[in-house]
Amino acid sequence: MKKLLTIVVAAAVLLLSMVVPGEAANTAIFSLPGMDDVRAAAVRWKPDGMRLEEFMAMILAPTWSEVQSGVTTITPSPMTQGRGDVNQALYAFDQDNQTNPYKRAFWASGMGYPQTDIEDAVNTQRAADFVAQTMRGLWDQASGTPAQKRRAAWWPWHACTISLLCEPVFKKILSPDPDANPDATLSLLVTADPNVGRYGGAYWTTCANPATPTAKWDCFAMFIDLAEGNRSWGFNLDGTYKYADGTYSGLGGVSKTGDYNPLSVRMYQWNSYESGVFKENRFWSKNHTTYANSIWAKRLIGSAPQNGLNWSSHSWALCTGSICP
Amino acid sequence: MSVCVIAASSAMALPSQRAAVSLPKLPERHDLYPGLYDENNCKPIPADEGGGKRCPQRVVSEAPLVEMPSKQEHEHKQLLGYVGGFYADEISKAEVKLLDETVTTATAGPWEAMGLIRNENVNAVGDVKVTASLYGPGNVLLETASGLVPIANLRSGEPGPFRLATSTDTSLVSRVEWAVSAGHADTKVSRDLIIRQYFQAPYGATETNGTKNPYVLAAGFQNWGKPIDTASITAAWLDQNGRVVWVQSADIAPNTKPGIAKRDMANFQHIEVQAAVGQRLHQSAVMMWGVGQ
Repeated sequence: MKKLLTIVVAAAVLLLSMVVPGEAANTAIFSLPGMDDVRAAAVRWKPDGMRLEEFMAMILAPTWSEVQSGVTTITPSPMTQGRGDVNQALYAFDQDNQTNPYKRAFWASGMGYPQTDIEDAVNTQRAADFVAQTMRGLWDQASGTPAQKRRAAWWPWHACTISLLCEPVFKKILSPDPDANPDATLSLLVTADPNVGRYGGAYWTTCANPATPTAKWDCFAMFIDLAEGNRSWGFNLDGTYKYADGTYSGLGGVSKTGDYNPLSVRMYQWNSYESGVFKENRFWSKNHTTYANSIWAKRLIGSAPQNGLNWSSHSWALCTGSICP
Repeated sequence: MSVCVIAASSAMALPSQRAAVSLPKLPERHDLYPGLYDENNCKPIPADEGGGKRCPQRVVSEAPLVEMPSKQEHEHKQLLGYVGGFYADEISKAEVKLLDETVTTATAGPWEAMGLIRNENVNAVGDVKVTASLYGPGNVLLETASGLVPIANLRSGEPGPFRLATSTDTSLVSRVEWAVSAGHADTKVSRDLIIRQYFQAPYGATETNGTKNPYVLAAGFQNWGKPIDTASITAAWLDQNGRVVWVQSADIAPNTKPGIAKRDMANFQHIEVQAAVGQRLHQSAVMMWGVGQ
């Protein structure tokens, strides 16, 4: 990760040069490699006739809106775990009560700052490409004013279509107003934050079953305590966990202020191919938790996890990297 | 509940034998998301991370201590124009069949029912009508109610939802006789939509302006077939026992241009459900049907 950050410093300088002096510091901040990934995705999928900065702002607007209520002055965390989804199927063994011993083996369905349930949401490069492709498709098929077309392109995001946060953010991070100045050169008022990486503190390693330690596979370590960027979704200001053991009392249908889903403990993620279908795997290894057994959950890729997960417990712990328990 | 299933129209009748269903599968991921996957479903590793690719893993494990399979996974399918369970891999008879185990009937107040039927013909069908005849004590016919399945081109093996409403008080009903009929599929209707569920918002979430929202199901689609001008979505929600607890449809979102070609994307209007029903839907599994015209 350090190597990655070193490599993309050049991109940061480029991005910073676009900032209007005196405005950026109070306008918006975003992950440096994340900005690089958004730019690459915007170049690839930009609608015909749209300015690059305009499309970048469209891609960026839902991020602050989804994970921090539209506050743009803090860098969103690529490792953000959504804590508002309410469905019993997301809890280990479908047990949504306080006595569930594995309650923090919780399958957060909205991941990363695009808060999608795509398998690579905690990866600013792949998430940005997916988001850009989706927005491009929806923009092209929409009619109306630019604002109406943006609304269509943002339809997949709750914060945009229900909470209506994205349009103000979009206007805030661009100068001048792109709709009133259709021929103007635009500046993106976003500062690049070099302290937040492409994976936001998560990292790739290898995993193995100790029974066959040489049969390794790539796995993605998502250790919540290593999350970079805005950690308010999981942590209090003093660094302690926020409602780590929370049980969303909205399970009865009505949410209450201060209620959250559990905060997942350290887990590993990978994709598998089994019996002709692709699955996303999340594994809470007992050597990285306080659990007596390891917990393994799987979902069909492309299927909303709320529609059902496969849960199992295991006596073995993962070998990770060169370390076996 | 007594169930009587009547075969579909004679034009659809086929010999009584099992037949494999040709499932309308989704395109490969490398085709759907160019550049994000290769033909082996491997993902490229960025050059600034060393390059190469990362492929789906085959992980071997001994038997788990405890396993709880997904309630839906064993039969959940994502197909063109369809997401959910109950889509048959093979069909057994020439009929459109009521799936009795999915039917919910009112326990008080006016008698109403929701549930699924399934097309077990080899060919697609349309105009699927579900009829319930309500009988009271003494086998007196109280009322007959009919409802159309809102999918005009129901493919072989595919389930379809229905809702029936009557004015007869549930307490008076002692027996129900069911019938299902079907006609020809509307071939102008396209089912080649890739349905994308965006999000579900639970009923009652309080917005920053203090209002309480209805339950919302947001979805869109990508056309993967012939050009269409409009589309609609129908969703059915199932309780934990697999019974249908609600059915509702929505049209394509406003401001969508007609002439939706293959690969084009568009949104559906939100499906919004208010209090009494909406409160429990976020806990339910969702089935979805997409229809283009």
